[in-house]
Amino acid sequence: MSEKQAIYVGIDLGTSTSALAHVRPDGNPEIVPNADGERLTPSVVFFDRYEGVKLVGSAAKDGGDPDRTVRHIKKHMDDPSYVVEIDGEKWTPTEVSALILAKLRKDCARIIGQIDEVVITVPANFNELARKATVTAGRLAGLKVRRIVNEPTAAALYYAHTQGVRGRVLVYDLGGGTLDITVLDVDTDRIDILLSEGARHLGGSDFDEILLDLIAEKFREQNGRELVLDATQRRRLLAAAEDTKKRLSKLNVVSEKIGTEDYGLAEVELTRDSFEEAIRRLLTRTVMLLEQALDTLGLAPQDIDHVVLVGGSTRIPKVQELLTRHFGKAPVSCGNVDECVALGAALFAQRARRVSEVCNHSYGTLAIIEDAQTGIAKVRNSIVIPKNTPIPCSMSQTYITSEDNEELIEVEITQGDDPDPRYVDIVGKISLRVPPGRPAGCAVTVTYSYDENQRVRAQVYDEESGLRKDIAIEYEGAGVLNEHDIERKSAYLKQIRIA
Amino acid sequence: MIKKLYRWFTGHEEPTAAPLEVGGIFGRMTPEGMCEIDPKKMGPDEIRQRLAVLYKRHNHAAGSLDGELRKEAELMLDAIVHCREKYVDRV
Repeated sequence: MSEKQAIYVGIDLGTSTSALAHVRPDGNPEIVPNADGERLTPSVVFFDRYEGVKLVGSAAKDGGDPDRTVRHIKKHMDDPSYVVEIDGEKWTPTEVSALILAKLRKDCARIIGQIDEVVITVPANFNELARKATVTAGRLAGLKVRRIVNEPTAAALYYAHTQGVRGRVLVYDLGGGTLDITVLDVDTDRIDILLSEGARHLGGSDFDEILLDLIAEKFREQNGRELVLDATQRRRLLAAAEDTKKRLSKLNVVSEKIGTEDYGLAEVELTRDSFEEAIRRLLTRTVMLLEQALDTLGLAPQDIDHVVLVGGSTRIPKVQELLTRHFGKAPVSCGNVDECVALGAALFAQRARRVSEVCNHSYGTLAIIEDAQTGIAKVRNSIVIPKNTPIPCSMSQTYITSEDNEELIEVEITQGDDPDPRYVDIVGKISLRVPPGRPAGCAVTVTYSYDENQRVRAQVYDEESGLRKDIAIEYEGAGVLNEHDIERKSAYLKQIRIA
Repeated sequence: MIKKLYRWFTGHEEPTAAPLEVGGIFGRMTPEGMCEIDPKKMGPDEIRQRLAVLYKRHNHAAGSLDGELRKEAELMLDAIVHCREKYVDRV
């Protein structure tokens, strides 16, 4: 009897496209094509009106009613109130993502056998809610999500595996929806992440929106009419704008015939320069994030040995030019920029122990902070676990009660490193009832633990009474599923046809 | 939303970026006003540092769970970039 061969599978659940990879017996990862023969599956879902089929991938992307087509759902994974409504049925971002994952699982299992455990990638800047939603999407799709890993970490692992590099690497991951910058030290196949910074809504789909506005302006100049009349048409035109953008990465000038004979035709000429000028402000944001990352680590550009490109939007020549200027050397491509995240995720599934990751956000609590010099007290965000602390970790801070007779100690759990409470998220709360009649000044210790799946637990401990309470962070909102929802939806998703 | 809870007894650094008053008047403010920079009194390096602090704050806020704060952060990021291009450098 032979022992069952372990299957190491990684999934890049991307904003624009998704991919599944596994590690071959020779130790190298490879992409597993879907049932349509494609290595990359567009992250698009079409909700069929007649047979109730959920089309995922190119079949969903290339046709059909835009009102029944869901794109870029990943951009909403961190929004607790976001839902898509089709035929009166509400779909959370988690459920839509589960349809994409279910398609990958089903299609790829035909080639590599049953897939049980997977690693799924997420942007480094995903918050706790979006990470949890991603794990839940995997569960709904019938997958056991062993780990989630940051996309740049996965890409860096693949880069280190294929190039055999050593030294300090900066991964610049400009994808369909987000920019992630990760700095790491690579020593053969040992990887230590030093920092991850990210920017939301800064990626290819944002460039598409800007390019469509540019095209519409030129159409208006020629025809005196609006090209985009409603949201439905805009969605359709955005797909065309994405194709134009890709051509502009290869050609200096492209010409597009747009409109209809009835409404008016226009031949619009677009130059790469005009496109790059139009997206200049977003590119400035990318430079500012880059500077922030290096400043945080106290590094100069010349301290970086390798700048590695990941994500389809790094094909834009201006992006490469900016990086070359910033670092004084040309960035290198991580092989296929569209596939390296999935390939790295598969490697991560096999060798996670050789990768040291960091906490993606700061976690703290609201506390009255007294200025030692002025004596002025203000409510501030007091950090317990600073961002970029190596994980898993557990850290504590001790506070004292501020008033006499406090019977209820309430600890609000914050996410974010800004001292001003207005700019951090309250992601949870612990209430601990303590004996009455105590004076102010009783010591209370707050401990947060951050596990390797980047999930947070919090504990409050009252030292005098010995009472303690701990919680895992939970979220609420129309777009958030509870355990009951997950079980019910999981059963439902097993019954529907996904093609 | 916030009430007195605990006093922390170790030292603490005050934030380097003062909170901005935003709301109904936000749309009428200039990017310079939103970023609280005065180009007559501040050199490019000082403006760059001020904008870097603001960028960090509002880039994080752009991913907040609070939809209103996300919208405000996007407006602030536009203002920050405007000032950066005007007073520091253009990409």
